[in-house]
Amino acid sequence: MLSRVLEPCGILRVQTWDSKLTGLPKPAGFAKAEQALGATWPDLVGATAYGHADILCTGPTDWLVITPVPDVTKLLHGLGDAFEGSSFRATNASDALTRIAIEGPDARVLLTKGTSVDLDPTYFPPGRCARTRFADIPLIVRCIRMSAFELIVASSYHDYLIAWLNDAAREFQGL
Amino acid sequence: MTAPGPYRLQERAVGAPVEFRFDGRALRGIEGDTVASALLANGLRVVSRSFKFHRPRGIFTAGVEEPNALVQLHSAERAVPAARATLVPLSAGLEVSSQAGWPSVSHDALRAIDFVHGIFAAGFYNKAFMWPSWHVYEPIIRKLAGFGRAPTGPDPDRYDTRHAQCDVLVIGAGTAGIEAARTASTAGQRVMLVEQDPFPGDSLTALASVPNLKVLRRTTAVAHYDHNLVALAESVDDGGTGSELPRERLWLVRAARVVLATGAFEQPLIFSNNDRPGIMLAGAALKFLRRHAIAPGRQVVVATNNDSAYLVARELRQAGVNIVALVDSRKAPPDSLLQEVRSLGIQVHAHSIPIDTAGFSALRRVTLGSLGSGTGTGVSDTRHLACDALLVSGGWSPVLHLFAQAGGKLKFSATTRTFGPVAALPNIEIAGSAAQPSSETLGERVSPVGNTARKWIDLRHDVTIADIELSVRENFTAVEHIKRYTTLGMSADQGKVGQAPATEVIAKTRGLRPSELGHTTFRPPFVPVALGTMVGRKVGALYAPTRRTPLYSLQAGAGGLFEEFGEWQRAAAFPRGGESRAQAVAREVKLVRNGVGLYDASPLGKIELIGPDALDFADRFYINNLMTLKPGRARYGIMLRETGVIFDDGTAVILDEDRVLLTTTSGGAGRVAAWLEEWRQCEWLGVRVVVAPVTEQWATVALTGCHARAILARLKPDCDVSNEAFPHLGFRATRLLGSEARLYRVSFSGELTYEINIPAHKGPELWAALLEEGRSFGIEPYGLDALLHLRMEKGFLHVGGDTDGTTVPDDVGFGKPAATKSRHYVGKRSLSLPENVRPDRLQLIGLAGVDSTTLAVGSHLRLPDSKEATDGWITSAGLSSVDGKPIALAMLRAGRAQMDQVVSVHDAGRIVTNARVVAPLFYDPTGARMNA
Repeated sequence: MLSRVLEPCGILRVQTWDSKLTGLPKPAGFAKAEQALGATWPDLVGATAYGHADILCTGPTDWLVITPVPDVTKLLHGLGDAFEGSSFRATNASDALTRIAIEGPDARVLLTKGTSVDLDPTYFPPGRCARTRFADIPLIVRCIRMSAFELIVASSYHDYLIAWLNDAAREFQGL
Repeated sequence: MTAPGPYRLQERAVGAPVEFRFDGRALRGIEGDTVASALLANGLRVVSRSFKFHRPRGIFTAGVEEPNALVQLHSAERAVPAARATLVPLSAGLEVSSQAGWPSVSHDALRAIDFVHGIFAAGFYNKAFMWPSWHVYEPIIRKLAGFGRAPTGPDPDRYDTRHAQCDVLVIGAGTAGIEAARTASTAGQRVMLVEQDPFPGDSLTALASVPNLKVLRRTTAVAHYDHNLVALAESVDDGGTGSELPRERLWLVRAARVVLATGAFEQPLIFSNNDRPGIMLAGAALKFLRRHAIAPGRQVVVATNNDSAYLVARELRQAGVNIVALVDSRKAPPDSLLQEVRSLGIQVHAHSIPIDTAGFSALRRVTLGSLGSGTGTGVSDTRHLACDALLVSGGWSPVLHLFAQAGGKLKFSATTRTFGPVAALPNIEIAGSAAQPSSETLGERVSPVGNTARKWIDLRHDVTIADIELSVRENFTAVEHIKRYTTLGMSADQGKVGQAPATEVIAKTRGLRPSELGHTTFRPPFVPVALGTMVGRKVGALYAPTRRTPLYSLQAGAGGLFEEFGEWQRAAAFPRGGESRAQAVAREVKLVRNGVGLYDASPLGKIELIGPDALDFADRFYINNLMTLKPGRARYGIMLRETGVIFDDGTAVILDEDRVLLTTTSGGAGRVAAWLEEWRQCEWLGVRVVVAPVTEQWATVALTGCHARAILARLKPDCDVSNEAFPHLGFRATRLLGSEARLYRVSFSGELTYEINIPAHKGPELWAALLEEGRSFGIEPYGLDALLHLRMEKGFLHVGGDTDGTTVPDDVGFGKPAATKSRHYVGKRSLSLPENVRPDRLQLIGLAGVDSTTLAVGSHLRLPDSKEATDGWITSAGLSSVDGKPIALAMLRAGRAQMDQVVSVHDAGRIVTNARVVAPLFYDPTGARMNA
């Protein structure tokens, strides 16, 4: 089992106040946003779209946009333009969130110690994400590959979560 | 090789010897034994002493329902009390001891109690031990009762938790359970099958290759909650080997469908002295024979009121065990069964029932009587049979504990003479013998003669029929009351053995039909669960989540003394060179008052409201008017619950025409965001705003003291920091250290303060730069203790410290803005409730000590000539940084009208000192310093 803290990257949180939008035609600027990200905006909760950035649909009106470039100034402006006149808004969460990768044959079992989300490969295949309460803290868990996962957590919980994961992994001969 | 143990049937025993100890005595069992089977094989008949009378007791069952064989495992910090010997697999070197009896379980001096048993009738402890207090007697009685010994230190074993989901959860791996699991998994469903028995049969092993099926052994389903959430306790590793595996694992399983294949508990027959060692359930004897090759005795009598015991008699006889007689309380047992046992040479006593037994630490004799034509007519033709084992069967009761926990209703059936489901529950299926009690007509269960004070219906708690009779005589007639008065079914085994006969006995005593009685509530857990199993890994550092700010390491390096505030680990103070905490705080207060200090305020809540309605939305929550707020300015605001009670406080600034930034208290960051979301999503649909918490995106550092401006200027922020350009309550979104930054000119200390927000990853750089630039000014970090003192001197509100769940704005001096704001806001309406305008409400005031006695937080106050028990209390206190005298903030009845009054200060019921009521402001009353 392997666990590591991933390099800082760019993370934007996108929200909309229009809860009826999901599944309806998107506002005019949207094509621009999709073009900038090279992906079709996902509107199913738990789905991920892949492009220049990963777009995770984390709630009916919530998304995370994850890009390998830590400086999101340009992207934030680009999305701001694209969202103009719409109900969508983006905020920078690059420093607020930390990503922890967990990889290995026992990764899935290890995660069942922390969350009641159904992580069975049938229901939680690569590309799925879920907002959940994990080890008593709120975070987002996503499946990257069959035995590779990522936890996206408020940075303040990082040390606690690493300690928790190391302890949880002891029965699998450690992380 | 000879299998150890005089009661082991050599030709059937398989398995290598295993050494273990019972009460210090070295014994040998074989592989595959449980502790119970190994004790039986060795002929150890007395394994425990009864709860009240200290009667010797032996192994009565072969499973989870065992009332007698509760034993102590291991010792010292690994001690496990009340383990069911019938479920513990024998392992090499296992240390087992009995829980009661002095000097030993087989020679118990306290057996004398049994000779005066009449004293210990139901409710005896309620009657006899009331003077002077039950608590005088309780420790002695607990010791007499023999509850086992708790671990002596922290448990070195690990425990863990897992979550699981499945389409079908099958509980019980008997024939029905295995069939249900196989069918469902073959149909492609995700199946979990759990079995508590440590040695389930071969058929379970054969399931290993079935796809989609997870089998958990040594696992007991202990609780069944709503929507098929089932808690399982799995014994994983018996520990002591330094293994990283948990000793036990708690599973929380969400199942679309649950199959309860939990089987049935055999019920006993009730007769005088039915509790002697050597008396055992017939089905248990069969299990011990089949699994462990054990003969229950040399001369065995089988007594039954149903068909099932005939099989037991037959198999034992075929295994070479001497069956003295088979006793059947039915008038006409089925001919086929009679022929079968008679052909094996077994003598049958039909229409007869045991009425008494003899023997003390071992059974010697059973007395039978022939039943009369009607019930309750006594017996005739009594005769004695010498025997050392008596196997009893009083019919079978389905195990429906989980069904009842899940909300299922049960009713006593006159046909099956046990409890069965009234109606099905959705997505719960009952299978096998749990669903189908035998349809045969059962014979008598209770001997019609003999002393009722010697007829046990709850072995574990020593409850007899006499106790039931007494209870009913004293008007405890409902089953729940009888349970509490007699302790029937209240012990560690929760009365699993004998619920059906107990119900019949209660009904008969009350002159009712059993179906007119209910049953007591089946509560989780089904069996006792170790606290460790429920706690899992939430111990030590993982007891609860903790949060750290981006400046944690730097502050730890500076000697920060960390404490938890909310979940946050925050530096309370930075003691140095042998300073006490109080000394450090006093030094830090002086530092800020006279020079300059640095404080990590990163946990301060920050919430962006984004959208065209942002300002309008924010204004709906504060008692203060935000609509006149100008860009570049910050406004203090107080938020209320809809009840009018103060909920949080903070500031609001306008970032641009589309965005408002709120700050909240550190502890309130999460709940304020949730509160705003609730109103946005549930009450004010259509408001064009999103709520974006950004607390952790920013590190927040408070640069405080008269040198703050000079130091900030040295970092060359992209804005003018002069007092004219950037006055108190100003706000700048600017650039600092090559990064965006948000500067607030706000003060919680009364000194000139800049709250500097910078992206979290730049936090450490900012902190270091400020210390570097401030060195020549004597800058040092200060902690939360100092901050709370500084703000106390200024009378600035600490929401949740000075206020509580009853405080409205006027109580703390904010009545005016709350009353004059013309727009509506959450909680406004409630401020006019009669309760909220009472003249004698508690109000925030200051207290000045009249002597040098320190004022302590929590001390109660009384006004002169007060008739009340209390007139208020101190909410924060300390020694003035100006003159060193005791000062405090307090909530006092009609406090603002009591200026200059002297109140008495009470602690632990004594008057500690007196204090004078003053305005809640002890420092820089004009605010010149923070405006400078």
